[in-house]
Amino acid sequence: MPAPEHTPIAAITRRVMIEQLRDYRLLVLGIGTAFLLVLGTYVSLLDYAQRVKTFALLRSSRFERSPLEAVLLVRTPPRLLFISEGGESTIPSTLVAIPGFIDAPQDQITSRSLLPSGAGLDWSFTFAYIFSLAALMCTADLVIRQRAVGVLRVVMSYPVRRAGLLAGEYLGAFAALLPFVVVALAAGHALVLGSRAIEWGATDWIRSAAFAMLTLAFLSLLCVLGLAISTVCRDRTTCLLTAITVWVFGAIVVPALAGPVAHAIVQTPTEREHHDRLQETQRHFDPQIFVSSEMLMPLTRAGLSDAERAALARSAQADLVARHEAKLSEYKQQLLAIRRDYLVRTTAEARLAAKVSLLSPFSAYTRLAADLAGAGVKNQDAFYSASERFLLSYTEAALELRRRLRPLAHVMGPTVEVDGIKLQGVASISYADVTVDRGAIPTFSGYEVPLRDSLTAALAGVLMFLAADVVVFSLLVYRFNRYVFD
Amino acid sequence: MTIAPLIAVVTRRLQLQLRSVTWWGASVLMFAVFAAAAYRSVPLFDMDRATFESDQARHADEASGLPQTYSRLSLSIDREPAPLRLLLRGSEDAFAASVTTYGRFRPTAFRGRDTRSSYESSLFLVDPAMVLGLLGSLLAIVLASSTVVREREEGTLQLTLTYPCRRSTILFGEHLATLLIVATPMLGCTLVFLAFAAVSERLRLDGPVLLQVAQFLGLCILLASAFSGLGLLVATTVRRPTTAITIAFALWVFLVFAYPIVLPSIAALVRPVEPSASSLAAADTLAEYDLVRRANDVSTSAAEQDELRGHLAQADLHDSLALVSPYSVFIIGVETATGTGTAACRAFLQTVQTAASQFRRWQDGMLSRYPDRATWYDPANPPLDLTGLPPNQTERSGLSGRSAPAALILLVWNALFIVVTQVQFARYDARP
Repeated sequence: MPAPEHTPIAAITRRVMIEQLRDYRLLVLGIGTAFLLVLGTYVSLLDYAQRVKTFALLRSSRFERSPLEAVLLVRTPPRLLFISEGGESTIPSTLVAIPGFIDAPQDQITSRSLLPSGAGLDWSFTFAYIFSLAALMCTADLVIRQRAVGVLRVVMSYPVRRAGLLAGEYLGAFAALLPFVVVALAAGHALVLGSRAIEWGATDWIRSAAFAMLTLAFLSLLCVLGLAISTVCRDRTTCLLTAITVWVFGAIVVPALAGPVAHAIVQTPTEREHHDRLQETQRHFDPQIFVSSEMLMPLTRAGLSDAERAALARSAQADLVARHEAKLSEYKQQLLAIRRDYLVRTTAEARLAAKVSLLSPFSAYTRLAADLAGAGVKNQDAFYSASERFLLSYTEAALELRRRLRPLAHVMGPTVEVDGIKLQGVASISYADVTVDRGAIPTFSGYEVPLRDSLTAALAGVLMFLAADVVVFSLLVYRFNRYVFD
Repeated sequence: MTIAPLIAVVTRRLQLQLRSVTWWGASVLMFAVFAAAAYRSVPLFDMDRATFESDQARHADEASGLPQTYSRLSLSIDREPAPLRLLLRGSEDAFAASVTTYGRFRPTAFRGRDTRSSYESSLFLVDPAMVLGLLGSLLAIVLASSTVVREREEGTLQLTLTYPCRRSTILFGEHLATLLIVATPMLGCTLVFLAFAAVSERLRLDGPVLLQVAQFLGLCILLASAFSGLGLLVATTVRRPTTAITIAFALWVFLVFAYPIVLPSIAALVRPVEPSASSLAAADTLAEYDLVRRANDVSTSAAEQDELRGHLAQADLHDSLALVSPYSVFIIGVETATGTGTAACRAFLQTVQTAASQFRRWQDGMLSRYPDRATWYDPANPPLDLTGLPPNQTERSGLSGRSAPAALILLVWNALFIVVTQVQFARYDARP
């Protein structure tokens, strides 16, 4: 019984690995990937610094309104943007909370970039769209290459099953990718840690390791797919063209179709429609509590002392304000219902798009990497959840403060006066001029995507890719057992 | 140039390609993805029209009222959606579609069409024109890269070179055949879609629109030709078909995929736009749901316009850097031709600024004559003096685009590839 390193499979693995490492395509793409990854990391770190600056500017800027009227909540930029940008630039970065209601403001046109929505040159992009080419194209002609020069017949004479042969080919091709992955990731980490642009903690090492596992699982699936192409096609050119087709389909066509397909099924309202619905509700809402001289009649009846009259007037005025606030609360319930409907539908669309994108390993990998890094939709969801929780405490505190500070507020509305008693109708109440101790208002302390969510995404991805590996490899063995060498 | 051998080369190549699975597969894929992109583009276009019409109606309604103070007056400029937004929405999708200026009383309000949901923005949200560009260029470069080198390997190239004509004629024939075979599905998709749009009354095929369509088709042909030229260059440079396909595909990935995707990040880094108070101003718009009016701070208007100019400058830098890739030049050319690019945004901003200053001058003149009627309403007053009030405007910048510069750059790329390929092929060793 030979030692494991001297078995025929190990010999095939070694030979294939060395052959692959000498392939100029792998060398060019591998070195290019490492270079792009370092460049992308540098760009991502600069981008992160810019986002942090903007974040600090928005957080530190004194929102010009009284906190009793509105507070601005700012989305925390994810720290691991260099792993995956995840479409961060396309997601609203602020929410505005007013007592009883919260929503993303329709962003100003002036603050929008006119650049096409490109991708960040992050690690997941580099592996998914650049290095994937190396994994796919270098294995796509592996078997056919050996067949063409007659090596395959010799190899078939080894005392080993055909499945074993394939396993050796696969392991060799996969092992040849490892040095490039290791060097690229090591260089990326060195740059991140050396630059000290982000605070690097223990959980980041765990996320980073999970990303490496996810990447290896993804690349292993591409190797198996490449081998499958190599055993199905009968000449090298066809193999390469098929590999190109697989890449174009997986990397471009399926991701391009995922959004439209999900949108066609769910029919989400657009941002404009959402804001139009909010404004329409506002237009039909009349907050005005009118006052008439008849309302003052009970206060002018005979037999009341001045003190009683004043107390009754105060009570009547308070009743008017309370009725205004009850009306306002009902109005905000309507707004909240519109927002909830919008969020439910857009989230359903996003989830469906995510499921459709799982049809392609390329888009599945980038999506899972974004979830792992806590960027994009995952970050937005965490932000929204934290904001909804904040709204409850903020509304409670703001309404309580409003009750206490109401005498200082500017109440607008027509006034009626009978026998020296005044009663003011309520159109709106402004707290803009009221000085408020901001410490009495809860602060939005920020949030982070939980590590558990990141690891769940990584684990799901690894298992999914490995399961696909097993299925494709089984089909491959079935096919290879019938392979004809003419 | 002798025409008969040229026709023979073209015919033979066409016959070969028409039998190839690659061409049929790519054409079917192109039709399918184009149809999917068009399926998404049509409702977006309908929404654009509906938004434009509702904005226009709302502004007309506001203008027809009887305001009692000069602070209640405004001037709106609505931008009609470009007819060929059906093919490409371009960068103006992020720009204002409607602007309302209030003179000295409130900041200018910019509103976008925003016909996409917030979750829909993604890296691969492709428009029909982008599908043609992506898949057409891929088909062109792959087909062209497997011509000369494969013939050399199979031994038929030596036979072809015995034709009574120059080598340049043979190469030109190969180029022409590849161009024809690639341009056919591209133009087919476009014409079928535009015919559908015309029949469904979404597009009126009048003079300016036909000119835009002609520019678009011309750009498609130039793009296919450029990538065909690049493919032939690869084919005449390497000695093995597999190497040719690999290099051609790598070039395509770089020029069509990687570079255009990474370019926005580069432009954003080189020419950053500092965030202004506009986000806070945006927050104010929502604070209005608490039914308290915002402060009349016109200074934010100037800050927002500065930011807008910053974004335009950034987009210009992006467009300049994009010249490296023929695909990016094609997209910029289509944006210009269809009036959906940075130039259209700049033209609209210019219109807005002119109209706003005109309105401001009129408002200042009136306020100097009737200072007490700026904000104070007295029921006893007669109606406002509206003599000379500039009317609301409609901008039709989507019809005035000229894509000549982009076409010229594509021609330069074409000429470069063809000349270098001819030089390579003139000394090409045709032995298998």
